[in-house]
Amino acid sequence: MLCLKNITKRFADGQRSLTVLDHLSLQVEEGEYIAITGESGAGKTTLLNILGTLLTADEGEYVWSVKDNGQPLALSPQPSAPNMVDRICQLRNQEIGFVYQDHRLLPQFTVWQNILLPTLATKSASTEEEQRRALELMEFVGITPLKDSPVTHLSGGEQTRVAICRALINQPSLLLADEPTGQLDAANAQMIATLFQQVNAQLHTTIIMATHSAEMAKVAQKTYTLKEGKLK
Amino acid sequence: MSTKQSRKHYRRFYRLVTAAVILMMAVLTGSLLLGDSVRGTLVHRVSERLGKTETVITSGTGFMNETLVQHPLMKNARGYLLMDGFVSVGEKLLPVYVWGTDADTLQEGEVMVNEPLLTQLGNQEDLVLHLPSHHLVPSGSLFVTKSYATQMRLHVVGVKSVEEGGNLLLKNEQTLPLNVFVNRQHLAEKMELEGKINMVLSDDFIEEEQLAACWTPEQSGIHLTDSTLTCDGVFIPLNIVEKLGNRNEELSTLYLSYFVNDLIHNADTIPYSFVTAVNEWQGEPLEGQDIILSDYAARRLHVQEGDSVSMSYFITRQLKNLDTRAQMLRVKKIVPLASFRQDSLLMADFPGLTRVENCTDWDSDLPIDMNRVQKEDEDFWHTYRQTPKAVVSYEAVKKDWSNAFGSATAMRFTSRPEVSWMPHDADVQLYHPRAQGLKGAAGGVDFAGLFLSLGFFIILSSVLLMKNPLVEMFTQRQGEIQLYQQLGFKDKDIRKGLFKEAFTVMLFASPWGALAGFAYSTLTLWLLGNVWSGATHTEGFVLHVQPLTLIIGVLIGLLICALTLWWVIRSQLSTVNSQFPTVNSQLSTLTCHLSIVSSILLLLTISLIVVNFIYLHNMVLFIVCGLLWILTWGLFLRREVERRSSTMPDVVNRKQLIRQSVRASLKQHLLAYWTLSLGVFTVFAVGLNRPDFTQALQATGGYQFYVDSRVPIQYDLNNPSVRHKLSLQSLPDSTTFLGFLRHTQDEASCLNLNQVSTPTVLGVDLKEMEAFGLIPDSQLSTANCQLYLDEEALTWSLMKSVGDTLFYQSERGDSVPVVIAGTYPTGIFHGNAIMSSEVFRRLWPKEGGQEVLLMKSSRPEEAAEILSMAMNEYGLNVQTVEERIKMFFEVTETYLIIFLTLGGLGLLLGIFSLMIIVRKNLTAQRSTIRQYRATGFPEPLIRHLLLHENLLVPFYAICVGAIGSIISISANPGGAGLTTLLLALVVLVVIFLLLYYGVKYMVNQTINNQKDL
Ligand SMILES: Nc1ncnc2c1ncn2[C@@H]1O[C@H](COP(=O)(O)OP(=O)(O)O)[C@@H](O)[C@H]1O
Ligand SMILES: [Mg+2]
Repeated sequence: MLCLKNITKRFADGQRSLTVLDHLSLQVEEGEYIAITGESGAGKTTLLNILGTLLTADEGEYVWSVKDNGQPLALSPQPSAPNMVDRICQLRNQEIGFVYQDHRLLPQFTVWQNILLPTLATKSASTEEEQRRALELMEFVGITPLKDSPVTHLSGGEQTRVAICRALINQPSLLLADEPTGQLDAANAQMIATLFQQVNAQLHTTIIMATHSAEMAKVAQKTYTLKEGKLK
Repeated sequence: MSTKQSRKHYRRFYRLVTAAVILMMAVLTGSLLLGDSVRGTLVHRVSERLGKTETVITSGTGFMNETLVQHPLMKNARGYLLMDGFVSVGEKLLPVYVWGTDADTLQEGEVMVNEPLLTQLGNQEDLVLHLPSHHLVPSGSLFVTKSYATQMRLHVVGVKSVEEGGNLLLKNEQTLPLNVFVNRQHLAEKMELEGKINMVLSDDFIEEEQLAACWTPEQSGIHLTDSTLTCDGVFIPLNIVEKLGNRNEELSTLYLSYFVNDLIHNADTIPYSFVTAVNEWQGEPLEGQDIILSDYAARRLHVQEGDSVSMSYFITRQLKNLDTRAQMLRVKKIVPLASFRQDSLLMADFPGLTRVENCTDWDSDLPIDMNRVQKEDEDFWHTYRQTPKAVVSYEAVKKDWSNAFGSATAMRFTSRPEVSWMPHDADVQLYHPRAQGLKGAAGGVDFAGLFLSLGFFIILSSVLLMKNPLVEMFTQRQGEIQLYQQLGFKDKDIRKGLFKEAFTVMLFASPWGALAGFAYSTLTLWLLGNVWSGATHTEGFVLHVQPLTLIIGVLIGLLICALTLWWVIRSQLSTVNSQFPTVNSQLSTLTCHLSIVSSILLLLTISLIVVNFIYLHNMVLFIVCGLLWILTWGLFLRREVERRSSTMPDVVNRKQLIRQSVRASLKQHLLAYWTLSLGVFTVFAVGLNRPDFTQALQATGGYQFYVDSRVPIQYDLNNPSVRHKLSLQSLPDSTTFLGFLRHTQDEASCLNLNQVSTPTVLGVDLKEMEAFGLIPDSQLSTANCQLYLDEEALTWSLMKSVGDTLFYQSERGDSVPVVIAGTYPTGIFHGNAIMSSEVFRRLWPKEGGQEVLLMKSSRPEEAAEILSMAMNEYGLNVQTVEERIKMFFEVTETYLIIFLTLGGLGLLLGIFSLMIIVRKNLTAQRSTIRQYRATGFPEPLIRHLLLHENLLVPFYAICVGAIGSIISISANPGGAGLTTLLLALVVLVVIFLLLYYGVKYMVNQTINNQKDL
């Protein structure tokens, strides 16, 4: 489904440059549930951001093989096709769902609006189909009563669940989750872990999750450890 | 806390604060300096126009002998013959003051002009000067020559500079006079006024008593011998007659000569004779219907003692509307003609009638029928001239023959009367113009206050401009503030520290602000003399700096700075722990109410507008409507934004996103709404709201023309015979005139920046004034003197109110209290006091000629053409009433343009400070942008959303404000001139564009700056 080859990412930190990812390679097949562990600062977020097209790699290849027409989409090194920016936006919107470490819910909107936000990227209003799906997702993660609440009133676990709903609203084929349980207590973390399993099993969504908790990593099919810029 | 380093680190904000402080200080001190400068210029102008003159001595309509200035007391005095004249340049008639002066070595036919007149003349080197004819005998009396005006062709030989007294003017006005200087001797010869002056200007301060000491009746042409009194002006002033008449013991006879049309007995008639009225003849009193005939007359009439003779003569009340009156007299006695000739007092020297060779040469205002003059009459004339053919009883004709100028032509005494003569007995009056001028200049239009209010929006906007970066900076420094709090600093000390840091910046900016104030006032002064001269009607304003004003300006500015800063710091410290504004979860009952209230308000506003537009046309109501309009739409905005999410459908759309974002920072957006809509409303509503021009035009009594005559018109132009005489017979029959007497004092219209104490007075029958909106107070007794003034002049030029008393100097030299009995709507008479002609004649009986005429006609253009052609030597300035009203409204118009310009600038500044808020908002929305991006929103969509979010309310506010101002000016939709409307439109478009591109730029900036995801 996607393939990373010799990905290198450096950050310029003042004078010296910091190599976060060093010739990293990864092959992901459809329907996989992958956990990436590593210490804080190892580069997990950086890797997920590259996968989620929010960052581009300095070196290496990133190819996304699209389901239907089968034409693989090279995302890195970025081809200078004229409609590339649009295609990346579309990919981000349609194929990738992202659950951030800090949720990134927009405080000015309600839970409902936050969840349906991704549907507005291509058209000016949500469809009934999407609304139905949003309701199902909320039901699925168990936040139906919070529908019209402002997100600032929610607890951390609830916020994570809203973020998951938002990530799944456009039925992406890939769900990226960056330490989704990082700030949660054990009970909540357990619940989220189960949820991810269900998503993977029932919706057949490919999941790549970064976590530094071994417990979370256990539920995944594959576990990689990110260390010194390489996956082990 | 190292304030210096903080200032350096946050210099981005402090630069803006500095700019705002400089701007505010500039407008503040600049306006104050402007006030000083205009006042200073007016004061300076007083000394420019007066030169060294401290005392002015005038002789009213009469004259004085030039020998008056030879008195030792008058060693620094100059005698002048001053007349109102006019010069025609091309089509234009320029009213000029003609100064007959001894000071310059001017030859006959030479003239000097002052600089303003030179500018008007262009390169014209010769000019024709038109003058009213002045005679020793006042033009208002019956026996004067036909010609009321004369002209002189003169060659301009030089320019009299300001320093040489070229701008000599005795009226309290800032406008520069047009002066013409000619040789006094030559002017006097032309007017047959040899050796006469009518004005003395002295550099010394002369008191009334001092003048009395050097003045003698002889100086005023009153010839007093041991037994007789005669006058150069033929008529002996009334007060002198009274003064001497009260002393019966010395007075034996009063003489009053008259020109009589006919003496008739049966079939015999003697036309056109002089007859003199006396109260006794050679010791024999004349009473009742007594007439003493000369033997010559008795022979021609074939009468004997005891017979009846009819005497007919012209009489006139006002404006030489002649009536013929006849009296039946009884011949008391017949005496030899020679005995009449022995008494020279029986013969008066009327100009035009007496100094001619033949009767047919008579040059008189009276309709003399020359066909009736027979050879006999000519023969008599050749031998005896104006020797009376009869004498009649003084009492019998006193009433008919007296006029405003006197009731006697000579007096005879038994012994020299011992009376103490006072100069004002002969209309000689004295005043000191400097004190009056300075008072007027000091009390004149307050430009400091005016420009502070006109520039109010700039000051307000610069305060916002100062506040916003401060708020943004302190918001950014909340972490720092929290740190200080954690470290145990007291809030008070933190506040003090921050205050000190920021206030130092303001303090350093203030001298620059004061400097910018100089620039501001210099620029404004220049504009007032040029582009905006419609408000001042003059140029040459000079910067006058008073250090105290400057200090006050800077101090006020610093106070405003300190208050703003203190307010920002306080509110910032109190919100230091508050959260990002969140969505309100409570269903607000307020929102429900808002819907109802705003709907009702909208209905009310619209119906009010409709009712007002169709029926009432009340300007104040329109302004109220405009304000209601803004309020209504403000409530609607609030309701729309606050609409609860539960009432929203499940569908989520982009509009909702925008609305929710606006709602998230509702406070700021509402603030932006109120400031922008009210700002736009105020600037445009005031800037475009003309005072009601049409209303002023309606109060013109149907008259179409306002005619100002340089030469008093002594006739009633409604009289057909007068029209014939003045070649006005071709005027359409429908043409009617309304004439006004005028006592010229100070210009009290808005064209004069000085404070005025006695405005020019127009005299008219008050009944006629009702058509002009002047409703005379019938309750008031006419025994007291009253006048009416237009509302604007009363409040702005005089700064008085109804019921106050003004003091006018009457012809007799008394200071007469005149009560302001009421007002009339400002219109064509703006700046003139209106008085009943009855009262007017009581105060100034000799000013009997009309100087202002209103004319209406069914063929107005034609009538105006004929009038100015036929009476061209009168120097008529014929204006349509529209033109005249426009002239006054131009002043207001200019002020409004200034307001619009400065207000527009203020608005632009306000928008600039709004941008700072937008920038702050956008910074706070970084996470939103990031999220939009991560969700796959294309870049243009993000821009679109952010732009809409930030432009929606400002655009809405501007539209509401603009429509509100249109509503408020709909009382007088056509009132605003095209230029003003264009200016307003340009300002509006600039505001829109600036806002659009400014916000767009900042959105792009924010998006581009935020590369990370
Ligand atoms: N935008 C950036 N600029 C500079 N350094 C960065 C940036 N993003 C991450 N880093 C650095 O890269 C390293 C890896 O960060 P990250 O991927 O967030 O680690 P993890 O998510 O595993 O904790 C860290 O040392 C961090 O300081
Ligand atoms: Mg991380």
